[in-house]
Amino acid sequence: MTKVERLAAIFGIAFAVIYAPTMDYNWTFATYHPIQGIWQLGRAPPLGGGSPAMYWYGFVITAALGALALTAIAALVPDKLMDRVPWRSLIWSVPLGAIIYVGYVLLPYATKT
Amino acid sequence: MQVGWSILLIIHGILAVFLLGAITHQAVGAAWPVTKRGSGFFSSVRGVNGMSYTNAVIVLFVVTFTLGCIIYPTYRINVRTVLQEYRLFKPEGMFEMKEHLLALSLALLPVYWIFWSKASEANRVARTVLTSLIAVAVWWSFLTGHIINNIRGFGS
Repeated sequence: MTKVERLAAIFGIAFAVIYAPTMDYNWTFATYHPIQGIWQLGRAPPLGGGSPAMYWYGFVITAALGALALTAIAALVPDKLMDRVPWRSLIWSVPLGAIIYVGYVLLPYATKT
Repeated sequence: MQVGWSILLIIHGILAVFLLGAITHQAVGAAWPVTKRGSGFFSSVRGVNGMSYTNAVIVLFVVTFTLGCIIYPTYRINVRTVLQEYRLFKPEGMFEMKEHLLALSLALLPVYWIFWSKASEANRVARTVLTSLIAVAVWWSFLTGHIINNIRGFGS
């Protein structure tokens, strides 16, 4: 695997690893209030008056920033060490695991009446 | 203003159809390749050159995703509240799953592009599974969007 291939794989893996708990525990980077058109840093409650608070944009930003940081750190690790990791298997198995985790978290939607 | 959102939603839907076609062809060709080229429909679908779809898939995914991000607040204000009022939890949960599947797929696009542009026997399994994962995410999202649009879409 070339270094570029490996770093792209690490980004995808890191994004999945960070994203799954981020959506579960609401580690949002920012909150958007669509009625008022206001952004707030971090997790903020709805502003009231029936206005929803949107966290999903913040989940994507949290996971993307975390994955970028981890990818940058991984770029500094010697190639000899990184070559030992089975990136080609991890790049699909980790996101698949994250999808199963997200599905499990959302399971109450399927059983609620 | 409502007309503007509806136009964006329709463009979002049309681009999703193109994306669905491209990723489905590529996924079928990668997961179930033909060993001997025949003249039938299934043989033609299985025999496509997956590499030629990669850039189109990425452009369509990113543009459709961006449009989805723009119209998402309208969904939260005008549609999700109705789903909750009528206790339509399954479609609401399907939409929640859609947004997470698409976010996870978006992060896979760089490695997906690299694996297809340097397609080899060594990355065949990873390339096939990644393409299939993205295809499943696109199919789930398309069907969910269709169901949500039936419940409270254009003109409702």
